[in-house]
Amino acid sequence: MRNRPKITNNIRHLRFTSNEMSQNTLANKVGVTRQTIATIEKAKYYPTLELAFLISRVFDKEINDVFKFEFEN
Amino acid sequence: MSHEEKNTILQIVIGAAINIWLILEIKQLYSEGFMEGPTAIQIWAETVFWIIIIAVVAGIGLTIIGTVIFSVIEKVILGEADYNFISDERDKAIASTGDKITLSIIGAGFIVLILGLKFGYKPIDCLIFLMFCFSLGGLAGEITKLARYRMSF
Repeated sequence: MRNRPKITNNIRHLRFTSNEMSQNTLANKVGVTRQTIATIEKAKYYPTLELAFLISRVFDKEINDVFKFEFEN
Repeated sequence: MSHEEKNTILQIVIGAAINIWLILEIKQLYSEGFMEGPTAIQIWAETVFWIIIIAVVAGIGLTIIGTVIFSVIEKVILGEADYNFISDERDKAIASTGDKITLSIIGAGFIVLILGLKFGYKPIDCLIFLMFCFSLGGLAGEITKLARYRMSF
C-alpha cells in the first residue's frame, strides 16, 4: 500500500517562543482567520505554498524549519 | 467559528426554508389544476421568477439579520463578538467542494430532464424536477461545506 504523506509543523512551538503569540495575532499577520491557523497547527489543513512562506516569514525562519514533509504508514 | 462558517449555517437555514416553500407552492399549483393545460409552463415560469426574486431579497435580509444575531449570541456567551469578516484560502477550498456537490446535482437533474423528455414525461414535470435539483443542490452544497468545516476540528 502506498504511504500517505503528511505535512507536520511546529507553529504552536514557534508561537510560544515568540512572546507567546496568539493564534489571532498570527492570523492577522498573514491575513487568514484564527480557525485556519488552528487547523494548520493540528495538520488538518495544509496551507498553500504562499501561506506557508508567509507564516515562516513571521517567525523569521526558513520554510523547512516550520513545516516538515513526512510519510506515515 | 469563522464568519464564513456562520454564513454557511445561515444559508442552510435559508435554503431549507426556501425548499419547503417551493414544495408547498408547487403542491398548491398542482392541486388547483394550474399544472395542466397549455398555460402550465407560463404559470410555472412566473411562479419561479417571483420565487427567485423573493428568495434573493429575503436571503440578503436574513443573512444580515442572522449575522447580527450570531454576533449578539457570541457577545453574550463568549464575552466578545468576532468581527473578522475575512474569507481566506481555506474558506475558498471548502466553498469549492460545496460548489462541486451543487453542480453535480444540477448536472444530474439536467440529464434526468433530457431523459424524462425523451421517454415521454410531461415537460412541466421535468422542469419542476430540474428546479428542485437547483434548490436542493444549493442546500446540499451548503451542508457539505458545513460538514467540511466541522471535520477540520
